[in-house]
Amino acid sequence: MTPPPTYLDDISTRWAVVGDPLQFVLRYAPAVRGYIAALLPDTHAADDVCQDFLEQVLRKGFMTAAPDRGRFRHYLKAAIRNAVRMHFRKQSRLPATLADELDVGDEPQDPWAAAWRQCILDRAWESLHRQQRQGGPPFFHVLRAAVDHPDDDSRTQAARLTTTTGRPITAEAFRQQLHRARKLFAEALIAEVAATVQARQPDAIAEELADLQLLEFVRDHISPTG
Amino acid sequence: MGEVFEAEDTLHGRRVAIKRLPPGDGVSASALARFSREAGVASRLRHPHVVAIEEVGEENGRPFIVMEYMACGSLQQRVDQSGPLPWSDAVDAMIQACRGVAAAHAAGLVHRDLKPSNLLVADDGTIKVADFGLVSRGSDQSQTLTGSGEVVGTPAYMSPEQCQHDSVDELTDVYSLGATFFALLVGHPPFVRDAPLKVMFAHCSAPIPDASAENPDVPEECSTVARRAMAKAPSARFGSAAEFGDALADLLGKPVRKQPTRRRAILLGLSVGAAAGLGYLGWRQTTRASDDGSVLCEDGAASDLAFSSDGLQLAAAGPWADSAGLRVWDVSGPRPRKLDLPGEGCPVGRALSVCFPSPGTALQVGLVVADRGQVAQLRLDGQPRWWPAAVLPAGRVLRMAVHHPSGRLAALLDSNGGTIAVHDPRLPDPVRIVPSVGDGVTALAVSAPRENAVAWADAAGTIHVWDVDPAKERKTLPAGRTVKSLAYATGGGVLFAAGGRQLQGWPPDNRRLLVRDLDHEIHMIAEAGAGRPWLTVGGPLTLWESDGLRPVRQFAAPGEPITSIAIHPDGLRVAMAIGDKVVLRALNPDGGGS
Repeated sequence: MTPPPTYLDDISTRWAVVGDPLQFVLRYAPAVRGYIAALLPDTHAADDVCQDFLEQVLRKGFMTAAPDRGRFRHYLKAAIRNAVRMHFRKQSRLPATLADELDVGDEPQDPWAAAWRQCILDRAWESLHRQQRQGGPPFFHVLRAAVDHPDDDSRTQAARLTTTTGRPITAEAFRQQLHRARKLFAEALIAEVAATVQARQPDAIAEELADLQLLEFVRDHISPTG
Repeated sequence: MGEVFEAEDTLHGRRVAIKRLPPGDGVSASALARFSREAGVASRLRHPHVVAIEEVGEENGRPFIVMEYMACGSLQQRVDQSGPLPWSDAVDAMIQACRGVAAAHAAGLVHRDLKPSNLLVADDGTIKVADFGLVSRGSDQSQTLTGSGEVVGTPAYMSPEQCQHDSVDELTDVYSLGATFFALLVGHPPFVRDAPLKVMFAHCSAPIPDASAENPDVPEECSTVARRAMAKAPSARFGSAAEFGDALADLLGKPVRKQPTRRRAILLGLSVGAAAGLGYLGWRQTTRASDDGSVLCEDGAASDLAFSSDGLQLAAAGPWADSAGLRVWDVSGPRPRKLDLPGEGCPVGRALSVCFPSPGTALQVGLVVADRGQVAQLRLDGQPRWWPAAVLPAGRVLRMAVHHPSGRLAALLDSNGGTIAVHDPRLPDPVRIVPSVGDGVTALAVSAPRENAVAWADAAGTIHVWDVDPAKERKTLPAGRTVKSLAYATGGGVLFAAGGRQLQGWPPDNRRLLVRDLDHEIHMIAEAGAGRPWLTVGGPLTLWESDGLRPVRQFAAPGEPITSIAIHPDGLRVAMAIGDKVVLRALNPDGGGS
């Protein structure tokens, strides 16, 4: 029996955007800079490597081989590490930390995974904010309130939101909007992750969400549709 | 986008500005549509802080817009001429800009290209927002006509979401307003890099700069407001241009921490005036409260400055006729000390150029004596004494003179179809003549003896390079813009040209032209010494690594125009001729000139 379609089946990937390395690097610029800063605590050296990396992307695109496991962030990580290696090669040294880091996989403490995860989350938040600004309900403020004040009950949250937005909201309305806001946020996260995964299979997207510890935010929203 | 002309509306008896698309087959359908959109949308907007569209039309298939004429140029021009604005003027200007942009947003318009050059100044000092050529209706990305990879907007003031090709809306304009505010406060955009992509990357990821760290005259409150407007995430910015304007208005109404009590009272008085509708405060140059460095003299405009190669002395060439147009200081100690120059044998005249051709022993000056060019040397070791080195050809007026650190001098004699005399004290016959250089020489440079070259730029933006001995034309280089300053590198023969918004460099082998595009006009270039950084002067002062022309650091410029500059060999101090003053300042390692 064919399993029912899931939400992930409906997501179209945008792997083609990788064909424009400049646009992709700009899209994930905070992750790029954050990772370089984690590898090179000296801010001047980190800035130098950022500049060199950009010049390399401008001239030659990404110099790595075919993407590993169909995830663009591995592709980009290898290109960044190349830039850092070249930086140290110019100085005729390779620090132990970078040598060790070469063997590190996608563990939660991996600075690249952490930077990438934060970038994905930030983009999802801004997607929610954009929808709110386009005249929708205050889903961004609702979810933000729930995240920032997790221990407050819905009545307290509603009162806070009334003050923040200038629009009256009841506790019941807050709960309903929170449920909807979580769904929209999950959709935004899935869309962001799908844009960076080559394969169209939902499994690949789910695996990436799990590797980035984002599955908890979307688990309830990748159940069968219909 | 498009050409802009000043015109006379004979029907109404007023001056107007006419903007039209340039001629040529290359005008795309998207450019035409974009231009027409500007006309249609902006013509419906009437607001005291928005440049009015008077008429829309078409002539010979070329659309044009007739706009309100703004007599006093733009805020960018103001910053280019005079450096950062006094913070209260910057705040007041931005309040007006925010009001205009808020009105446009209320009408459903997003500007998407806000920057200092789009904030124009009317006769009465009112600030108005101009150039809605990139406007779109709300946040619909499909109406931006960008196509794939075609970025609309100026990178220097572009929001992160614009750089990332994400949807844009009113908060994009808030970011650009914040970046504009920063530029007015410190004299340059928030992120200055040597390539547009790097500027965009910085907008997306680099820490937001602190205006008060770059310009000590800027109160922290101003910097805080600017930083919030420039938050990477739109959700973290002010919620609207109106909210941004309110925050700016609060700056004028509240006491601020960095001002002394007396000035605070003045500011409060002015804020009351503004609130009463008196509007724009005018372009008064307020006295800078901060330390301006050591003022070495303030009795004449210096035309050239030079440090000795050991960094012990500084010389200025200027109008001080009683001392051969020279001032010389010992700058080796904590307090510079003016040196007395020998009177015996001292030429009487105005000096145009000065250099120290050899360490610590002598300086050489090119000067005008009774309208004739002369080169004189002053020995500083032992018993200081003068002797004349050469008299340049008679019958011609010395218009311009420049030294190479080796001691060679090039002098432009009579710029009207004139000649260039090159003086090399090492040669038995030290003066060589390059004849008939033509009119309108805008810049001049002479190389070290081994390169045997002299170069000048004409008004058309062509650089002519000649062999000096024997005098013959070597090549021409197309600078493509008015060159304000030329200089040969001490160490290696690269010829640098500064002009417009470009710094260009031509290695002697001609295999590679180095070009750096900037977001501000530059009019001067100076070298710290062989293998040391270069300094360009425009809005900010920018230090450049000579290898690859990489920008190293920027510093806020003083509030008045700089007419000459020299970098100390240690790279930590600069001497500047500002108006009638010669000032010695440290280059603050934190990034500000102080």
